[in-house]
Amino acid sequence: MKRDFLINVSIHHVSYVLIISFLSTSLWFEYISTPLLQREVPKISIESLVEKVREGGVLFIDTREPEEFAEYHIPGAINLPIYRLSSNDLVELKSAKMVVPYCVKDFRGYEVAKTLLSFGLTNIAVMTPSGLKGWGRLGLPITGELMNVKEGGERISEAFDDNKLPLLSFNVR
Amino acid sequence: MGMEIRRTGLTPHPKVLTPFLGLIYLCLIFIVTAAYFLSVGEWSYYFTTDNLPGQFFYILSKYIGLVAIFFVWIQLVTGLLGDVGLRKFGINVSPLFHRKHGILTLSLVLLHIALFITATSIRAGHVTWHFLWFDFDGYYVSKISIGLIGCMVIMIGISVAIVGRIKQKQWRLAHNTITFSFVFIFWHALAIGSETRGGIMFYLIYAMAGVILFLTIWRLVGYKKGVGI
Repeated sequence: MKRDFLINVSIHHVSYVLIISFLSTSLWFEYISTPLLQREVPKISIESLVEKVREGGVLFIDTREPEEFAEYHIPGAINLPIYRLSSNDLVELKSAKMVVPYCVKDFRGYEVAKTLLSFGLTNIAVMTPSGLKGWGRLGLPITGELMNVKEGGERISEAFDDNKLPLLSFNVR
Repeated sequence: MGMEIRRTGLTPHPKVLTPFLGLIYLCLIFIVTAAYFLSVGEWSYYFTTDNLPGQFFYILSKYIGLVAIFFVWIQLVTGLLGDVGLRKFGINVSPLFHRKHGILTLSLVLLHIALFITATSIRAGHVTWHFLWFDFDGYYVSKISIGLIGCMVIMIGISVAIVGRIKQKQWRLAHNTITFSFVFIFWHALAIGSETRGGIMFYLIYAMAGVILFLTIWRLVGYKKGVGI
């Protein structure tokens, strides 16, 4: 073993490396690599969103995992997790009047909205109250394998039965 | 060569790492940080815009989680290699370093959990304690629970190390079960992590998993031969 090449490094040095790497990389991305995103992600109340859905042209993007999407999702939504997102999706998304990314409480939905905004998409918004929780709490329809056992399932079923929301009005998938 | 060797008093080995190990640290942290910022973008955005409540805690939680995976990996690799294995690579890691690094790793894992709970609590308007208990009803919550199991395996492994002091063989064997935390943590990361499945991180995570698997087998073979553990 060539001990001559050994240097004295302690746990403190590991911390220094961590901090220096983090600072240099974050500063690079903050100021050099990409232009700062100045625009805020627009928000839309679910009531206003429902009106837009009735008019047609609203595209819901379910940003969760495919397995979660299969369990339950907003009818007509497409599944597009953030790690699969690319600028190639823009053509389809631009054709919608409004694009609404969502997840359970819109942590992931908001990040997808922000990414799409940085791609130059302008017809984008996140809903308030946030995500599927907010959507389901208002008794709006959710479909999927586990629909009836999820929170708000009964109200959601009622919404289906009463045709409170005409699901077939989703013109854009 | 001007080398300074400090002895800890707890170990006969010098408390040193090679530049090689330092370079691994530097590269991995840089890749992890770059992959994260490529996905998340600038942090200043969360302070200069009216975003959703708790969002910054969520993205901070993601970063700490990514760094924690890398720390878990380093800890397991150095632990699995052991004194004998590390010396073959010209690396000396003292037990004191191993302990401090282990505590730092557990702290990062706990911080990741705390930030996630903070983010979801702020968004929900109530403390989301339910994430701290096992729930396998539904894909997302079940994968959170798998991460929680990984954290508990680490906590048990560290507790065993503190209580048993790793002097006796059975305590050491019990401590070595901490290797299984890797399975749960990587499962958790690959199932619901956003940055772990994009670009170079995807390959890096699988390469890290491959190294752990190889070293585990190498260690088990060594154990059977009466060397190693």
